[in-house]
Amino acid sequence: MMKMTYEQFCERIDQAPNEDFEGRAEKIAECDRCRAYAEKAMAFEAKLRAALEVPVPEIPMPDLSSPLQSTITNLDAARAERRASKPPSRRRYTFLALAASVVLAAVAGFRFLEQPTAEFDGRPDLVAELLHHVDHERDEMRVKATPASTSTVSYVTTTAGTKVDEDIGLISYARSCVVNGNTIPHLIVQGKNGPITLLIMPDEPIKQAVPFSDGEFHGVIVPVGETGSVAIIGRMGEPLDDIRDSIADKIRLSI
Amino acid sequence: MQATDDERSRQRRFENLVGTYREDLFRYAYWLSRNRELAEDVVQDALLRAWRSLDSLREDAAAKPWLLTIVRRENARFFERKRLETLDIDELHQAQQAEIAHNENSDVDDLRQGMLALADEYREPLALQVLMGFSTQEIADVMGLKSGAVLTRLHRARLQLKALFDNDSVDDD
Repeated sequence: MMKMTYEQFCERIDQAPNEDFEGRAEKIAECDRCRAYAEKAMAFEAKLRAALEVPVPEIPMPDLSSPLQSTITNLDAARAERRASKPPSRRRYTFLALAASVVLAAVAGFRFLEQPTAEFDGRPDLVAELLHHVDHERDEMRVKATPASTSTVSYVTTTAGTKVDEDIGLISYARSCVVNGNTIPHLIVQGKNGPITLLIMPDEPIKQAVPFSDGEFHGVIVPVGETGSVAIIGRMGEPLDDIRDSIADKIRLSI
Repeated sequence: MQATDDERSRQRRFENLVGTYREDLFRYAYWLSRNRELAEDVVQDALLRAWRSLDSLREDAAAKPWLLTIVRRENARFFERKRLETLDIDELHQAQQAEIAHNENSDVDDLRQGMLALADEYREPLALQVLMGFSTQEIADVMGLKSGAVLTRLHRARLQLKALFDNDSVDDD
């Protein structure tokens, strides 16, 4: 039998890096380049697997007790409703972001007259982005009794280098999101009356709590640790005081 | 009473299977459709079909390929039914970039973008192999291909992904 060339070896490795094939072990033992290629390929596989493991949302179990056709009809109706609520969103959150920026810029202007710019910590740009984001994912702001899977919560929080205590409450939604250029955990916990969004920002330090609202949502950004902050956002009327007072003890940065 | 007990037992069996493979089903549907929302819909519809034909699954050990095959068919039905337009890759990248999780490792992000840009014929076998741990023959069975064709696609898929950020890795000779 003809001996396998380096090129043939590489091709076999790229076809199925984890599968054994005839001559693989011998080639790795006798050929430095082959061994190096195989090692590099295995490192690539680890990254590839991490890339393919996208976060998994909560997928409601279909109603198994109903007749199939009625379940399909219900699913279609729910989807139509979900999609109908989305398209205007871009225009709406652009407006909200703009409005929030204007209001906060005005506040910033007044405060600028009172204090040095460096001490102002209002972060109107960040608030606008937070409101924009919550509006974008408004479909997820709903009352739910089923928790997000622990693996999803763990994935979402640890990839941002954070950890959330279990006693934070029922986390019904967890996703990694990009806010202000950073990938951060977006969690939804169940508050007294409805859902509360938590956007954990390990790299957004603030000096003091920043309350904000846009007429539909209200929230507060509170400092967490030395380098970060967390935005707590609920619909108007949703009490945020309890979670605001305790959140800093329930989130750890830099794990 | 017996019928009710049987039904409960059937439902428990189904929920256990779905609980075990839920993440796999969604990720497979996602890499088929490249859209989270569509993937959720496809998985829900697939679960309904799986529930209806659960009795045809003789052994739970065979549940994974059985469920993935249902997801695959449902995805094809979904695209046919909705007659979805061909996705624009640039737009898709921008949309999906905001939707899928970003990893602190930029290589992982690059690979996700690379996967989204791969042709269906390369993306699917790679997802089945890397994510689902399927052997070449199992991939061939799911996709209705010969093993040789699967291996060729896997090789080309990896070459394209590696070329994204490491041009010399495949030309080391």
